[in-house]
Amino acid sequence: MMALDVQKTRQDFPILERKINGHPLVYLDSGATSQKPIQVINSIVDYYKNHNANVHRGVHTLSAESTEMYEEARRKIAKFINAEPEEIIFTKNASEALNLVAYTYGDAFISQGDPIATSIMEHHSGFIPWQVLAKKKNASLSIMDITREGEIPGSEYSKIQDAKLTSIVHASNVLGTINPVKEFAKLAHENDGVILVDGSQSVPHIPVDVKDLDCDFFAFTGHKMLGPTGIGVLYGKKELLEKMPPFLYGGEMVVDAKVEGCKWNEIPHKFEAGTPNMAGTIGLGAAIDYLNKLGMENVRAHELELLEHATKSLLEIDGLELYGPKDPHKRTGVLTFNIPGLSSIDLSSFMDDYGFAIRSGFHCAQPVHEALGILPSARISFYIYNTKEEINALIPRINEVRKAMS
Amino acid sequence: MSENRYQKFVELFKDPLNRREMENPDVTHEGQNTCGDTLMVFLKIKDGRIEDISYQGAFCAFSNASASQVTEFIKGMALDEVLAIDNPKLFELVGDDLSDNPHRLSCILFPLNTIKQACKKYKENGPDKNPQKLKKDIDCHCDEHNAELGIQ
Repeated sequence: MMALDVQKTRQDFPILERKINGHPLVYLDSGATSQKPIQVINSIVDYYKNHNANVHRGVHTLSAESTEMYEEARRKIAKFINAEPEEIIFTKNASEALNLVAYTYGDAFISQGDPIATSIMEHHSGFIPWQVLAKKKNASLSIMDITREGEIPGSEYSKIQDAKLTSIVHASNVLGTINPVKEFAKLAHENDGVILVDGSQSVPHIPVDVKDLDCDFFAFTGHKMLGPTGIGVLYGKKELLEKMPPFLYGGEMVVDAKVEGCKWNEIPHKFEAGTPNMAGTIGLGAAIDYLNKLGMENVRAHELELLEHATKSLLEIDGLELYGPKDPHKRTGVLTFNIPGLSSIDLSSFMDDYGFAIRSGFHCAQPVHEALGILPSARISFYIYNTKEEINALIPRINEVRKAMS
Repeated sequence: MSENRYQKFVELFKDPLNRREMENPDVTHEGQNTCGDTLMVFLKIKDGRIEDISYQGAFCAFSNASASQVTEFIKGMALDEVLAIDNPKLFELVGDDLSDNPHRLSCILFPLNTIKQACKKYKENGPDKNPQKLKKDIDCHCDEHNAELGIQ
């Protein structure tokens, strides 16, 4: 397959034409949300213009078309991560997907004293649901620590072996660290535990095969992988989803609703109460088409190239403290850092004056900042439309802001 | 960086007013802003009035500018007068209401809110018996980290 042609790719992203404060937009915040190619935008417009009707209801033409498009998107997404379509549940985002497991599997199968394992590098959405569940059930939450380099040391792995449920981020949104989740799944299964992987920062960037990873659940979100906001995905192994109680109750998730009791629908519909986000799902399907066309191996190769270049360039900034593994192969395209004497929010604010969109703060991951003893941080994150030239333009601007502030 | 409307914030960041720790304060309070910034205020109170005030911590230039102006303004004021300072007055002191930059509004509200918490604490409990100390500055590990990466 041909390598990624970044200039050609950029032409598909209308927002990259924008000027911010008189400067061309340099978007380095794809870890928060990616930009959307015209193909995704058009798929949503086409859906509303030509096919809009409620899914799985009625037999008229539009309803049939809408249902087919919705289910076609489910098949595409399933294939993308090597799952079966009935193992794909649509949610509004990854947070809801993670909460779904806590509220259904957790509520049904976690009891007093049961060990739950997670790590200190989780996003809040992969941390708080377990904190709350542990409190509610009087279960015991053990949190895997990290090394100074931002990796989970082998000495912490026994927490996974002991746990009835492990929830772990595939790639950290602060450190970039790619966790060895295949190995973690093996450890989790040694004592019949289950493992949920938060793939919000991995699926957009690296090829993911849930069967190969052998994880029990896998959550991710559409908007970080070129898709629209409001659409997330939970993959679950069929046998687990079948024995879990529903999440929300209402239309679609029930096949027989009687005063004396109800019979739940088959999976995945059992977990999709109410009218779903049809346009969002179809938009995510278009995003998957786009990524498939580029090839995920090429997406990763492009990101590695940027990572290597940006890591080297950032470290040339005097005193800059960069977090996470030093080997680009161990991380995805996020680079989080601090510059002594310069607040990350000021840096982000003043970089915006030059058209650079960079993130600042805790990135919804306060515990990892506290574990490393670091202040709120600045973060740049890449995707398929970023270029080396943008990195080259970034560094002198950071130096300029720093000079002005000291 | 070209001069912009926040130039005065930048100047105050380089040369802040009252930004220091205080020996033997009567009351301290550490506030945390939603972005993660932390600011500790130190107050000396005499006859219900602010005799001296200072602040220190890890916060942005906007908070620093606001803290500089507010602390300068309230020296000598009664605690109730400080508690009565409203947003229009604060904006006047800071010289900006950030109406076109609302996501940084909390940066300039943050110091006054922290000072008000300290004033309330004093009104309710009197002088702190064990005033909080500023947490030791977070160590910068950059040299160590760069060495790991083989960078001088």
